[in-house]
Amino acid sequence: MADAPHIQPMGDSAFVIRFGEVISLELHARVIGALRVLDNSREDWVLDLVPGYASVMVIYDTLWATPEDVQRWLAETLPHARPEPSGHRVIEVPVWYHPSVGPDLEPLAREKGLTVEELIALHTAPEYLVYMLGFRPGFPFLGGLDPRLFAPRLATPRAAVPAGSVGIGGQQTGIYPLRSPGGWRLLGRTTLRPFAPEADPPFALGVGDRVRFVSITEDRFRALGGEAPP
Amino acid sequence: MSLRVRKPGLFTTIQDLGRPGSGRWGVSPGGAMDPLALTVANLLVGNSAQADALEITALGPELVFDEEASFALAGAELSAALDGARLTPGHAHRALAGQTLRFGTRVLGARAYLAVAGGLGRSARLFLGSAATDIEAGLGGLGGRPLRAGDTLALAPQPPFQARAVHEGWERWYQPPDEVRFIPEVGTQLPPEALERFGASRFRISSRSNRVGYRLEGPDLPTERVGLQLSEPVAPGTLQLPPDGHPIVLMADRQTTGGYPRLGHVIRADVPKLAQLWLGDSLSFRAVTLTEARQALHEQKAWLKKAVV
Repeated sequence: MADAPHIQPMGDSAFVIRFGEVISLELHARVIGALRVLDNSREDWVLDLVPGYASVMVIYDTLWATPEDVQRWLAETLPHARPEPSGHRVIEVPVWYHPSVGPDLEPLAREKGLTVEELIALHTAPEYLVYMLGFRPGFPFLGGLDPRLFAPRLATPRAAVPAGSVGIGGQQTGIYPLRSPGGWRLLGRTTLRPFAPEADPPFALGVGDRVRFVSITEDRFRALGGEAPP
Repeated sequence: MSLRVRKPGLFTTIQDLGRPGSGRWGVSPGGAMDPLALTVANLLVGNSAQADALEITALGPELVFDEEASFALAGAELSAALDGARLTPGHAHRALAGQTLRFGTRVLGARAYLAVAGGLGRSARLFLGSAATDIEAGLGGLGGRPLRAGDTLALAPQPPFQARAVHEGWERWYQPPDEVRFIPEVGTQLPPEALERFGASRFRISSRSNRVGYRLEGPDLPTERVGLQLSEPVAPGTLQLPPDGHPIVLMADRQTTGGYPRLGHVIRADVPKLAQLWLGDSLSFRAVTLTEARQALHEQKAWLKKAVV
């Protein structure tokens, strides 16, 4: 039996439920399990339920519920949660790994004493897990990166990272859904759009999905509609 | 029926009460920085509280009414005038076809809200049911961007004008303007001196502040090099302390997660006050209990129910 989670208020309109302080499959399974029972018994005054690596945040309407109401609801609901293994859905993400769209590909390979081919092989080998989405709509924080590719973020983030850029930030890898500032080390670009506001549903990846990167050629990238400098 | 944008002003966006509820997809709640003022402006023209309106930042736009319309302003006092006649704050107004609404000197506050009967968001692209403009994600509003000269905002058919007014002291929710209440973080990983010094110091709103967050300039606060904390969802009003020792308070267009240690959270009742502070304004933070925070919010909401007559 796992320890009961730690629950505490975050200001006057939220509570956080913490299962631990590390990134692990076990804690992720508990997060997903808790999210499931909370979604299923959701009260009207719950404004949002947001999963993190090892936590779930409950944002509530303070005019309709007291902190005691929230604590009572959590105390009644959370004991029914069971860790939930994720990864029923595997999404293939085609990536053109190339310096023209992945400016950190060659420097990072050199830094790690790898050839570019070896780096690509290490990045495409694992099946990653979407631990959470954040930063921008649809931005997946993917765990499961080969430790040989762990790399600190850039000291000075780039002012504009193009949409679809695939990069490494610390122990995580991810995809920029929109053009935005960013400090992750960029390896290539995908044609997958993690966030397409006009689509239904607008999000290609959700928490608990599995992701596999597949290396594609420039021709394939352009055939799939990829946009890159000529 | 439309409102034409002759000059856009410094930063004018369509806002409503935002799109809370999609944090798990990384979608920011967004919406009006000062939800109280947005609501008052809407109520003055007979709209529902969450109708879309214009959020006008510091330097107002120049707008032309193509047809007669009922409108109201709330929030910052930006010297609004209709065809040169100064408008009394806290009242509904009637614009006749062809009249121009201009703004002048910023007298008080930072953000004014312009509501028109029936809303302004008919030209806006909704995302998750909200017209709120989020320029970081390019969502809502007119193409997810601030207004530009030449834009046209479609208006709803106008109901007959009704002379509504805010009947008593909205100012008190913004007093004193330089003190914002917060609830300290339970079990923060920061050294105790960080919280002590935070509560005892004055800060200035940095020029690098926007709808995502305010950066606060003041004394360097001690941060422990605890390494990277695990990214965790962030709550409304979260006060983060990045490694440079200068706090950031998260505002409407905040990201949904963050990895910096936290000092605490600004109470909901003081978010409107914070939204009305402008770049360079100074403020201090006073620690309160959850009970006090709830009481303040309930008083504000009770006032709002009877505010517009």
